[in-house]
Amino acid sequence: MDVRQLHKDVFVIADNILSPIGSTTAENILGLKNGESGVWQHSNTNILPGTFSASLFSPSHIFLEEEGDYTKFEQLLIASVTDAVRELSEIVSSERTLLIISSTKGNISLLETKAHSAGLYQRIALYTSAGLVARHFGFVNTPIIISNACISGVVAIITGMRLLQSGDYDHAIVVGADVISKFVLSGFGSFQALSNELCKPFDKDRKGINLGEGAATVVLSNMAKNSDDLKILGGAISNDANHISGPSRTGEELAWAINEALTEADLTNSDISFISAHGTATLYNDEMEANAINIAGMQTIPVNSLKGYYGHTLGAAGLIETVVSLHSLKEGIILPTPGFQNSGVSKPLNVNAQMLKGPLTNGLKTASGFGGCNAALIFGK
Amino acid sequence: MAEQKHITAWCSIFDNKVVKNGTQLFDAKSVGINEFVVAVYKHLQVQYPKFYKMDNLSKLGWLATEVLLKDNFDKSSYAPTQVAVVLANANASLDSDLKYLESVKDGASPALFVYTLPNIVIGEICIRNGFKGENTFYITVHFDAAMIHRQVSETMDHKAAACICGWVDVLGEDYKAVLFLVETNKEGIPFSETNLKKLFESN
Amino acid sequence: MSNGEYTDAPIYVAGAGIICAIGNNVGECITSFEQGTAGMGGMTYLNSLHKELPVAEVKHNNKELVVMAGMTASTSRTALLSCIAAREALSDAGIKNIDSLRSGFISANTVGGMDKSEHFFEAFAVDRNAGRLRNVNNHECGNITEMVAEQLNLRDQVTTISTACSSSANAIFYAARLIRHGLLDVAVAGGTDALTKFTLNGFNTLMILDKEYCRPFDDTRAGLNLGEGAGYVVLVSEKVAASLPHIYCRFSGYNNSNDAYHQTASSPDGTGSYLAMQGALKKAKLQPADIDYINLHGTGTQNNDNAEGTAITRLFAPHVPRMSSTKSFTGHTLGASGGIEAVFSALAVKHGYVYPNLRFEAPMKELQLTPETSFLKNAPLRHVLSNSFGFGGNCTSLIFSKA
Repeated sequence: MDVRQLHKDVFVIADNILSPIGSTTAENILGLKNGESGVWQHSNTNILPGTFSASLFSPSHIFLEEEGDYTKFEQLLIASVTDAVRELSEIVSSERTLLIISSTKGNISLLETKAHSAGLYQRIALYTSAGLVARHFGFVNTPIIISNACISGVVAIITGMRLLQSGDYDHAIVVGADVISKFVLSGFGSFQALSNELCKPFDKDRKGINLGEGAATVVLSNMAKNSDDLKILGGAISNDANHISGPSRTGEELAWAINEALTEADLTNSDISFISAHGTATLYNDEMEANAINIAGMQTIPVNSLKGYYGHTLGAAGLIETVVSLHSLKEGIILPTPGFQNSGVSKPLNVNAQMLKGPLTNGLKTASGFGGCNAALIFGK
Repeated sequence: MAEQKHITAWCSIFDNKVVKNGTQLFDAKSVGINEFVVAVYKHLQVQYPKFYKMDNLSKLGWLATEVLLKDNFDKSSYAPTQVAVVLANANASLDSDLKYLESVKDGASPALFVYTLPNIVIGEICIRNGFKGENTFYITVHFDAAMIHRQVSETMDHKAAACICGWVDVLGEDYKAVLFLVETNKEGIPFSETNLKKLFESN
Repeated sequence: MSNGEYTDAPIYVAGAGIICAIGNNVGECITSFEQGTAGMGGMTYLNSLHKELPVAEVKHNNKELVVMAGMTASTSRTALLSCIAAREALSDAGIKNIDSLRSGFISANTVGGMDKSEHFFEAFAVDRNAGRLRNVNNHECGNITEMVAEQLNLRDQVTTISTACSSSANAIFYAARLIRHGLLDVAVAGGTDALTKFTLNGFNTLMILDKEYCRPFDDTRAGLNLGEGAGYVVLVSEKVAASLPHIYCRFSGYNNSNDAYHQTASSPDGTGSYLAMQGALKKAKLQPADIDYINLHGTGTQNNDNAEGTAITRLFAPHVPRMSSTKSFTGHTLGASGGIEAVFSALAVKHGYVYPNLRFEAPMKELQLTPETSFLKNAPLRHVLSNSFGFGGNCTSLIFSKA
C-alpha cells in the first residue's frame, strides 16, 4: 500500500519574513517588487580586511520591545514567530503543535565577545535557544532543531510537512534564523567565496556570495485557514557523496531530489511554473544547479535566485526564499534575479532577469550546502 | 503500511572503548581523544588518508560508521540514494568552532572553517561509502530516542531502505558516538524507541 | 523672485568642502572612514601644557595652511581652515555664472582669532608694550568670516553665527532661509574652528575631556576629544540647481530648539534634542521611520550621549535608524562640527554612505542603542538627520533628503 495515500494536505496558513528589507512578509514583498535590496557594501577592518557586501540589520534595529536576556539570534526567532502567529494563539498553545527551528550557527557570535566557559558553551547551544523560544510562546512539545548547513531551512519545512502528513501533529511552526558575524564572514572570506559587490547569480561575471542575516517562519497546518492558502506538496533531500565543501560535478544528486519531490507531489516537471534556485553566485554552485535543472528537464522553466535581495541567509535562506516564492505564486509574479545579466553556466537555463506576470500553479525551491547536501521542495495551489 | 524495520547493527565509541553489537572490539586506556581516534583508525587497518584532515567530530562519526558497517553491510543491495544518514548531538560543531575561531587571529583557515557545521560528518560518511540518500543533522540536549525513531521512520517510509542513525558528539575531551544501522526486511532487533533507548544506555 | 518673499521651494546642496583631522578635503575624509583611521593623536601643533590630552588636529602647521589657503602669513588658523574648506565647496559646486548671482557666506565659529590673540598675549603678559597688535586685530568671530568672504568674493550677504557647538548647523539653516526668502541665490554655509589653549583649558575645567580616544555612545565613554577643522556646504535655489551638472541632495528640514535646562549640560530626557529632531521632521514633512541614518552629535560625554540617546529612543523607537558619531574620527570641532557633519550627511545621501562609530563596544546600559560600526556604501538612504547640540541648551537638527 502506498503510504502517500494516507497523507493529509499540508497548508501554509501564515508566515513571516524578518530581514533588513522589512519586518513582515508584506513589507518584504513590497520591497522586493520595488527592487529594494538589503545588500550594501561594508568596510570594517575589525571584521575583514577590505570591503564586503552583505545584507545586515542596522545595529540599532529593535527586534523586540522587551528584549530581556535574549540574544540577537533568539530575538530574530521570537520576532519572526510572533508576527507569524499573531492570530493563531490556539495553535501555539495546542499539544498538537510542533516548533521546528533551523539554523547553521545560532548564537556562535557570542564566542567572539564573551569569556569562554562551560556556561557559555551551553548558552550558545541551539537547544538552549530552542528552549527559551519554546518557553517564550508556551509551546507544549520539545522543539526539533535542524542544523544541516545551507539546506537547513528547506529540510525544516520538509520535516514539518512529513510530521503533519503522518498525523503525528496537526500544526508545525517552522522558523529559521542566522546572524552574520566575524565568525561566518571570515570563514567564507577564507574560501575566497565572498563578492565585494552585489552578487551575480548564474552570471558570467559572478564572483561569489553576499552573506545576509534574517529570519522567516511558516505556519503549517492540516487545515486551511484562508481560501488562498497554498500547500506544501513534496520534498526530498540527497547527498552528493563527493566533496565536503564543493558541490557535485554532475548535479545528479540534486536532480534526484527534485524528481523525488515531484513524485511525492504527484506532479511532473512540466507542472512547475517557476524555480527558486539556491543561486549563491559561486562559480561551482550555480554550475551544479544548472546541470541538475537540465537533468531534471526543467531548463526552460523560469528560474530565479533571491540572493541579490537578501544575501545568503544560511539557515534562514530556505525559509525566507520559500515564503517569498509562496507569495510570488499567489500574486502571479516571478521576481527577477538581481545581479544577473548574461548567463555564465555551461547548460541552458531560463534565468529570470525581469519581473514576469501570469498565472502560476506550482513552484520548486532548491537548496544545496556544505557537506554535499541538497534539498528540493514543491508547493502549489 | 511501512515495512518492518530492524536494527541490524549498532556500535558505540566512548570512554576509550569501541563496542559493536555489545562486544568490545578495542580499548586504549588513558589517552586523550586526539590519540584515541588515531589508535582506533590504526586498529581498523583501513587506508583512508583523508581521515587525518577531518575534525574530531567527523573522525568519530566516520570511525563509528566503519565499525558499524564492517562485515555485515551489503552495500551492493542498495542504490546509493536508498541509504540515509540521520544524526544528532548536543554541541553541534562547537568543538571545531572554537578551534576555527582561534585560527582566525592568525588568518582564517578554510580547512578548519568547513568543519564548523555539524552535518559535515554526514558528508564524510557519505563520501566514504557513496551514500547519496537523505541526510539530516538534528540538535537535541540529550539522546532523544523518540525523535530519532520518528525522523528515521519518516525518512525510511519516504525514500530510504537503510539508514545510519544515532548520536555523535564531541566537545574537548568529552565525546560519545552511538550509531545504529536500520534496515528493512532484515533480521535484527525491532526498530523502536524503546530498543534505541535500551541499546544507547547499555553502552 | 522678489526680495524678502518667502517661498517653500526646495533648497539643494550643490557643493561640499572639508578640512579636518582626517583629511584636507572631502575625498581624503572618505578614505579615512573607509580605512577606519581616526584623526586623534598626541598634540603636534597646539602648544599646550596638557600633552596628556589627545586632540584631533588638522595635520598641517600654519605655514603650510597659509600656502594652501593663499592668505597672508598673519592670518588666524581659524580663517585659514575656513578658507580652504569653503573654497573646496565652491569649486565643487562649479557654479559657472556665480558673479551674476546673489551669493553669500554664512560662516560660524566660536573661537575667532583666539590662536593669534594667545600668541600676542604670551609677549604682552610679560611686557605691556610687547606683542604685535596685528595679532589681535582679527580676534572677533566676525572678522574671520569677513576675511574669508573677501578671499572668495562672496559679497551679497556675509554673516557670522556663534551659538557654541550648534553654530554651523544654525548657519546652514539661516543660509537656507535667506535663499527661501529670495535674498540669495547661492550661499556657502558652515563653520570653522581652530584648536586653541583657550578652548582646551575651558573644556578641561569642565572635566569632560577624555584622556583616551573618545567612545561616543559607548557605555564606558568618559568625555570628548577636541578637534579642529572647517566644513561648508553650498546651498542653492531650485533655479540655480537646475543649471548645475550635479547636486548632492535636498536640504529639507531644520529646527532649533532650546533645552532650557542648564548652561553646559543637557536635560536628562533630552528635551531640547527631542524638540529639535521633531521640529526638523515636521519641517521636512516626514515621519520618524523615514529617517535612514542619524549623524549623531555624539560627543562622547556621559551627559550628551545619554540625553541624545534618550531623545532618539523617545522619538524613533521601535524604528531606530542606523546612527553613528563621526566625532569618533574628527573629534569635536565645536563651531565647525555642524558644517563638517552636514557635509558628511550630504555625502551620505548622495553616495549611500553610513559612517562607522569607532571604538564602540557596549551600548549604554539604560538605552540599548547600538551605533553602526562598519563603513557602508550603496546604502539607499532616503533621509539623513544631523544633530548639533550646544552649550546654552542650543539644539539644532538638520535633514538632508534624496533629491
